[in-house]
Amino acid sequence: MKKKNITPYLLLLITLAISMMFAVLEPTFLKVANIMNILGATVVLCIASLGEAMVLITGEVDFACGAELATGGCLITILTINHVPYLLGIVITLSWCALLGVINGFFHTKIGVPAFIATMGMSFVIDGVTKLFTDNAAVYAKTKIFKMLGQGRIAGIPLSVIALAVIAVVAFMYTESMTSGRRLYAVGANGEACRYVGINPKKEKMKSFVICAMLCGFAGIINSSQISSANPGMGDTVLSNVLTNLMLGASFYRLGVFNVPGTIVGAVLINVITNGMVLMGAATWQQHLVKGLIMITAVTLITLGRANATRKIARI
Amino acid sequence: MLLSTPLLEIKGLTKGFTGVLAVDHVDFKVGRKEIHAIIGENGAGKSTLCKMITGTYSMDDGQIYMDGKEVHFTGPADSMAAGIYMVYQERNLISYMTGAQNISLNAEVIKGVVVDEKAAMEKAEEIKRQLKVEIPLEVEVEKLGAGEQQLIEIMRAFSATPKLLILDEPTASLGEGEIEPFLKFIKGMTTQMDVSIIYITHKLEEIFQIADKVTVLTEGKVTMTAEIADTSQNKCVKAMIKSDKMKEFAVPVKDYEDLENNKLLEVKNVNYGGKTYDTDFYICKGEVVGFYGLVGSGRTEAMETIAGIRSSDQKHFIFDGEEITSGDSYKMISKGMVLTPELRRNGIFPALNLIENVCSLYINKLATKLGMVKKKESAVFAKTILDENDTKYASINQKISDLSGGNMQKIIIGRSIRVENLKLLVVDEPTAGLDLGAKSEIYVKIRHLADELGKSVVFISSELEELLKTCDRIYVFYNGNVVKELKREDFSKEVILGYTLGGVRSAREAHA
Repeated sequence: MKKKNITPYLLLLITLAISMMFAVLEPTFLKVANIMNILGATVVLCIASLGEAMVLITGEVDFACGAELATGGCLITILTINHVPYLLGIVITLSWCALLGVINGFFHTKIGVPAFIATMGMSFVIDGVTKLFTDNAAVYAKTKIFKMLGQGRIAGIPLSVIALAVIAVVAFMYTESMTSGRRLYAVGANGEACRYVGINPKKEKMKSFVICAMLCGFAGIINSSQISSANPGMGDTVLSNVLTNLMLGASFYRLGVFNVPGTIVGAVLINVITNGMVLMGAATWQQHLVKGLIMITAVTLITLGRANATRKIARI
Repeated sequence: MLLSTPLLEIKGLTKGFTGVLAVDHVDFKVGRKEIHAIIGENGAGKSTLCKMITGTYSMDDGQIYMDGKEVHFTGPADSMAAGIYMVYQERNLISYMTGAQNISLNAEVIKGVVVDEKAAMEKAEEIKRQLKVEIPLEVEVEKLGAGEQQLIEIMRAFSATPKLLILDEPTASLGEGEIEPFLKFIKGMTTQMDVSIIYITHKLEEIFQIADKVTVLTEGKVTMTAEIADTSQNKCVKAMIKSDKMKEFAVPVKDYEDLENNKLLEVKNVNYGGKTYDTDFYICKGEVVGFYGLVGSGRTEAMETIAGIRSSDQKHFIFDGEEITSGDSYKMISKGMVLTPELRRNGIFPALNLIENVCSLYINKLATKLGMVKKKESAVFAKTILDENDTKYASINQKISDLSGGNMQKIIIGRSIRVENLKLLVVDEPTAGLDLGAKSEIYVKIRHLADELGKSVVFISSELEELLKTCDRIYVFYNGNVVKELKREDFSKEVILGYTLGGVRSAREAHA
């Protein structure tokens, strides 16, 4: 009777199976350096995804995550060029992003504009402002401290991966073990019911927009450090990738619900596929084809497994 | 075809979920032009049985015959084609479409490439004439009352030619004034047209008004089938529930002078939706006060405004000796006022598990100062609440959406009465859709709160009988205002109904 249902962990098993397959086909895949490459490539999108996860958990969406990432990356670079100390630069950048989150939240929770419209509009506004202060061109910063976060390593582990690990652990604790994070789930599960148990859905949504914008901005900071530069277009493809990570992630751990561990596994899976295919010398069209097929297959398997599991629960 | 062949015959119908037989070898027949009532407790298998008839659920065993021929339905589309149409307890209307559009939904007449709205209206008008109902068809259904929406759903069945209508608790969402005409309409339908009805309900008095036959289900088995003339309400109740499930209680006589020195809540008027209403009422410590009125009469709105759930331009009332002029539901809950929602779906978090649902009212209590959730305590607390309210569940980690409505309600009320500094509990339609045994448990809980624990309860309900049975006082609402207050010794159904419909008030005003 008590047979453990593996469906919630299927995504991780699929990721491991595919990694194994690549390891057999291409021995360099399993080298420490390559694993670090995979993780390093995951960091930026993963942090942005964790930010977006907070908003999706409440049942809303922030379409401006790419613009927030780009503005974060560009602002820290420009501040560095203008000799602002790096740490102070980070503080200023994150504050700027927090303000953007507050504006997103303001239009949605105070005025009542649907979140996707408010954030869609804001993405253009933010993009415009970013282009204004970068003069719509790439900006470069080459100081040592600027490059450290994205390119530095401690004992072979990229600093950015450590940063991701810290953020992931905090985000996991926040959503799973802290009352503040639990309230986000409550709002997403039933905003109406929240009012009867004394949770203010507007306050929670505001909070999620601010966290999202700050994490996206931080992802931009790491990204600019990785490439020693920033440009206003660096966030253009972020939204679809972030949503892909999150959708895949919703099929792991908490089924059908956006969550932190799933988001990370989803992001790693996509990078494993990309990395493995590149190592094997696959063409771009082959990469896209295989990536798409694996994603659809994974989610299909999980959906079927989940339907099976629910069918077995008696409606008592 | 012989006239004696029943329209629908069911033999040995069986359906199990994880080893539990929800429907256990059920036999029954529905004759032509017959209203056949099915009654039973929550979870007795009524809905499961009907969903097998419509093909929504597959059956494990048994046969279904229509007009003497065996049929196999693999889905509602099959059964609809055979003339069986089920109207569910929850409304399935598209709120922003008109009545006519809803009726012709999925059976639209197409003119060129667009839907022919005129044809839809004509069709709807024809059904309206056929059923002899008065209902506006050109307004969006969200603007109609619960009873009218119910009628639209039934009319939808007549866009084809139904032989058998299955109505699942059709009066559950209707107010007192709407039920009578609805029952007359149902009865009229079977006398004037060749249509049979399976009528699922909890309300015994309705059966004796309209049904020809009654079948009682208990734990998936048929425990009684009888012509309505050969049975009585008592016999039905006996067939339905085991005697130990009905809880008895008595309402103690209160000394009002004593009570009135201990007022907990005093309200002169409430403001919501941009209007101020005259609601002069008070709630004393240790009493159960009923709020009665039609749906939309302001009984729910008034309490939701006071509880900080509904927004208000200006607030002014006295709660526990303190003047309150602002504050959201969080503030009122922390002051000891908890409200359980009228609609059950507003009280639960479907995607979350039982622990999270029970503890949602206690998010801050069951956490450390740093805001970390105390997981062990939460699980233990959830289990306590579930067990002391006799909730049926498989695991505390299962999603609440897997439970039946009755069990959800037990959780919603169960978690509310355990709030530490609870002073006022407002229950809004707490017994809607519950069976007699479960209802009596709620009445007992409410009286216990007031009589033994000295807390106050506001009991909002559309069922006058239950208010008369459980309350110390009743306020009647009409058009947003409080129009009458009655103490227990003055309770009178006629007086209350008169005020409910506004008649007495307007007569009095005319006099003045």
